[in-house]
Amino acid sequence: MNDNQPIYQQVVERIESDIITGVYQTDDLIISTTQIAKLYSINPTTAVRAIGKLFDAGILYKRRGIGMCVAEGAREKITARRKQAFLNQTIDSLLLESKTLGITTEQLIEVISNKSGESNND
Amino acid sequence: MIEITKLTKKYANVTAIDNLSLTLQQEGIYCLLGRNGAGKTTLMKLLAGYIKATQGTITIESKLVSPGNMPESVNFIESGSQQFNMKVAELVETAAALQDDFDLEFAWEMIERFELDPKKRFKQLSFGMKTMLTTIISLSNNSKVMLLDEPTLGFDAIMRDSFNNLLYRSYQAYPRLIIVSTHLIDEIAKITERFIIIDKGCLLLETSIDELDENAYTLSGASSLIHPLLEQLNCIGTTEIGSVMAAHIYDRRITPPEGVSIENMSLQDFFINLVGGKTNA
Repeated sequence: MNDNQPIYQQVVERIESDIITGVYQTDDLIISTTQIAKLYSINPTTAVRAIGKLFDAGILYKRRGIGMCVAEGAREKITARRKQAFLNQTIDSLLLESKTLGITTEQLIEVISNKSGESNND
Repeated sequence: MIEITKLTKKYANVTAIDNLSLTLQQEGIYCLLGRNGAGKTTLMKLLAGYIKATQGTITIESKLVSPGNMPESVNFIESGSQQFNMKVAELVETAAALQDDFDLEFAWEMIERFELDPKKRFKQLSFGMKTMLTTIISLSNNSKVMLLDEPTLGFDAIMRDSFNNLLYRSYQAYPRLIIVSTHLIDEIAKITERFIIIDKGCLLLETSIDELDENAYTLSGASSLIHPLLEQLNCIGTTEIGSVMAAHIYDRRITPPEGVSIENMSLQDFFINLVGGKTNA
């Protein structure tokens, strides 16, 4: 757990990341709130709240007597929202930090295209 | 379930509980926090009907509580409770024989799980094991309200962890209203759902772990950036060193401006800031 977000939010994001990266596929069963509480050493109430948020957002659905499963289209939903957040917040703070350090936008673009070229060649 | 109305308890000239009102409706594990002498034990004794209130009333399940009218649904475990010096197995069997709704199966499961030797006599058990046994016996009776006064006092870290597990398991088996007082806040935070914070006999706060997870945080950065933010936030304490500062906030979460960082506040720090003085230079 990191220190700058409410714990339930962090649990939400970890499960979301597992859905995006394919650890959990559509209709897969998510680990139970008891297991989440044990795994991250957090209060079970907090785990229940995190799962509740994912359920409300339509990322998870309930299978009676079994548990929570990944909903159809969950991956697309999460990706779309994170893309938006990345373009808004991450790029903003990148630009601000560059400005503080005196890095011009041109230099930044150059570095980005070089790096992205490297990782494409991998 | 529990309704405390304008409760006051005076011992000679000392006011231990001062016009305290509090309603606890749901089942759950409640953590009672307060400094030494804040009135935690007095409150528990009043709830159990061990002592008489100077003023005000307590009702539990709509029944008025007083020393002449001790609530049957309440089980109070004082710290350092004693038992007859019988073997562990005999103590458990006796408790089961004396109480109608004693869950013997649960008691044995817990004794096994926490590695209590059934053949040992009570006095042969270590301090921690004695408390563990007393608590197991009490938790195996499914009374509606459990009061535990500093149950983990004097336990090592591993025993405390086991104890908190025991409490949580028992709560899952029998959901009810459990009030635990402790000074080890961040440890109990792993199992408790709600917090009751008292100071000088008064209620400071009754809230949930979810609410604290979201609304208790610390902002740090340049004082010039933080001071304007505090005008609209409930700040419970600040630490200012030169031109930088940390402000402890108990309010809605904000997205801090550039240059100000946000960090979760540990419950221990929250408690210290809320109860202890306002400003630390």
